[in-house]
Amino acid sequence: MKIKLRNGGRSGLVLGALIVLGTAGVARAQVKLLNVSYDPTRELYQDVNQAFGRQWQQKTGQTVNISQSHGGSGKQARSVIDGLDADVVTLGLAYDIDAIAEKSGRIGKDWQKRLPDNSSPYTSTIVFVVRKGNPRGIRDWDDLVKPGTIVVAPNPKTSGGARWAYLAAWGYALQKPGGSEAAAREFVRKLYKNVPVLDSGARGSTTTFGQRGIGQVLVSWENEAYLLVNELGKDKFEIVNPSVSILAEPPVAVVDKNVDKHGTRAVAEGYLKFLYSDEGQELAVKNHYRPRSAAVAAKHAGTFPKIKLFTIDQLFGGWQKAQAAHFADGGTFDQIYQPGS
Amino acid sequence: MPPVRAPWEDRLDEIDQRTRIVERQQELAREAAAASPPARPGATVQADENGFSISSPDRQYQIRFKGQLQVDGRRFFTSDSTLQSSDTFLLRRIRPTLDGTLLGLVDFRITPDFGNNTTAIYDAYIDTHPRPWLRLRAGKFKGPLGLERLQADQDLTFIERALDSNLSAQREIGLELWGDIANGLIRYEGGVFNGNADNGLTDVDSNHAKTFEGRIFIQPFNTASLSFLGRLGIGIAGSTGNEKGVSTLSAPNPWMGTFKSDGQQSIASYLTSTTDITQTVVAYGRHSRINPQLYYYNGPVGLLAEWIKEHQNVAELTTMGATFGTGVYNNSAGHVTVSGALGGDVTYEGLKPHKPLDLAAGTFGALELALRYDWLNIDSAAFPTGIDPAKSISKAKAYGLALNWQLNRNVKVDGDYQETVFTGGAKTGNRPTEKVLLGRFQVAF
Repeated sequence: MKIKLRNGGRSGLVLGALIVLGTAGVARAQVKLLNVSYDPTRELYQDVNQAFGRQWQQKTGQTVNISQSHGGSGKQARSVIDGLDADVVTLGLAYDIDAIAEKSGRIGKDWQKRLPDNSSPYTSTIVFVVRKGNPRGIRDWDDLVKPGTIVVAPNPKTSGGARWAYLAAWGYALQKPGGSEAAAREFVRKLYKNVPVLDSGARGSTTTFGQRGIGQVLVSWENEAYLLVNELGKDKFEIVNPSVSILAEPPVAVVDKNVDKHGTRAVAEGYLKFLYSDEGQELAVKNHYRPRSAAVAAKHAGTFPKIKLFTIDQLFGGWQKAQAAHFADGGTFDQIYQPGS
Repeated sequence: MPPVRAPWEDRLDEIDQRTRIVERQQELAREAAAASPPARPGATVQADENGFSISSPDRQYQIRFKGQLQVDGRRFFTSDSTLQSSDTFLLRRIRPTLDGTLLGLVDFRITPDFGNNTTAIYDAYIDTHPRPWLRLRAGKFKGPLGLERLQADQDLTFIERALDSNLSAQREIGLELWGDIANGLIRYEGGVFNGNADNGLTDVDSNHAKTFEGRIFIQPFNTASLSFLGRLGIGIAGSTGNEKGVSTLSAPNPWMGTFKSDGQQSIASYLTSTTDITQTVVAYGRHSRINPQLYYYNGPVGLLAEWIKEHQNVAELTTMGATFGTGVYNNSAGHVTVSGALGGDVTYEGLKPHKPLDLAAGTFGALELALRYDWLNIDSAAFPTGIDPAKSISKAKAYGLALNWQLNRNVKVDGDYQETVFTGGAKTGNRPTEKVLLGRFQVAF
């Protein structure tokens, strides 16, 4: 049986085809990404999203709508493991991305080798924020363990920044003359005895210190410290750089299974590569992250104070070992931190 | 040089900090509570009169452990020393049952039996139920024939099923569609099975042909407005299929039933021999059954009655190597049971005490008194070429009295007296009347 199309039928077909093509075109022209990140990167990625969106549209014609999710790095990793549909993760430490790779299989285990500098496009460190005039006279880590000092820091069980801070303190004590593991343990125990409030993330600690007026010193990401001082007033806070701190290397990765499911691999990979571009590195500097690019770093040589930085590999043998020893359930932190003591 | 602070200023700062810390801790606690997903209740573990179970919160996944233990005693009143030797205590049924539900869609059951000094699987099936009116069961289970057969063992009024249970299979293996229509007003069952022999429990068929079995059972008062009339059930079940036994001397498998009395004594069996093939009868052709069913329960009284008639084609092997002689046997059987209870309700699902036994509260559970008349007629055409009249009876009529004490839903003590009169079954005259006292102590959960 043959079916003949009258003119009206042909017109309908053409119209239908146009609608289908048009819809497909709209679908191709718009793409959504979800960036699951840690606490203090809100401002950085607002800038990055805007700049990358512009660049991507010029390059491909696609409009990118990027959503951000922020929280303690460990909590965010847990959310992705539990099914949060992230296209990319930009977390506080490599261990959290390793955990996603291992427990959910959504990220290939070779993720750290896919981008330069162990997939860490910017770095930071841990510094102190004190109230204007530094009434407690805080200069270095030793001042944080003095009796009566009220220290504000997030919870190392949930916050990536807190883990960096904990290890920075431990490394400082370890490298002191006569330093030992036992001395470092006692040092860190005393430090956390002075922490009355453990926020789940770095941004929460900033609120505790900056807006709730608690404590004499905030142990903070460097970028977060600058943000606090700039946002809430240089007349209220000042940054104190300890003599020794840790080189924090926040990593980034594409969530393989999710991008393949969403069809967003190209844009997700482009998004992370953008962080290494000059423009991306400049945005990192703007938001007080230390750039990986030597050229950009040289350009902003006077922006970041020189602090003696050690790496996690040097003193702790990498994140896996540090996590197992200090932050796993029953680890050193659980042993030394007694809430309310 | 920082200004000197008065001690009260430091003290004030300390109090202020403590206050702020407490407020912040409360704030964080509220935030954490708000951010936390509502707590998901864990799996539910339940132990009650229906058994022991573990289920997911939404009950989509369940596993239930049930069991049944029956300790019986039999005492025959006879001067026959052979029959006297049947006086015994025995473990009649030892049946642990594992039930489960998966995805809220698929049920399964596994029930072995370790009683009677044997081990056998009685139930092993998967039941998929997308709708109450559309269920598919596959595996080994009770077929649609026999109203009393379909009643759970622990719920029987008499310790042993009536004589008509000799004309249906204990279990069938196959596929069955079944369901309840109009909220249980009508139940239908229809399936294709291997087609077991009478009283059979075999797992593997003896030939390629299969047996179709079905049942329609209507409960006309099963609505809220008519429930005051009690629970009436009327149904009819039937089966038909081709069966073919195996007649080799080395491993005969005649696919024919054997018949037992209410005292569980063998009272009739078809000819079978491992030395003389002419002394063997095998199923050979169509085997059909019809089985009208009736029950009525209303509070403390109940009635259950059924009748079953079978039509079975057989081969009587008259001479070695000769063509099969053929025969057709039409056997029938039935029973009527009436019962009344004190302190409980008589139901198809067993005697249900209004109050369980509690000596302190002065409650005793429930007592039930029941009478039963049952009969079995074996086709005279089977004698003597199919059944040896000197060894097997041709008719049996039994009268029974039962006194049951249901202590609670799980524990029951039964006592039955059965008297069965036979026709035939002896070299001269009739097999002696069987008078037997049966006792049972039962735990079922």
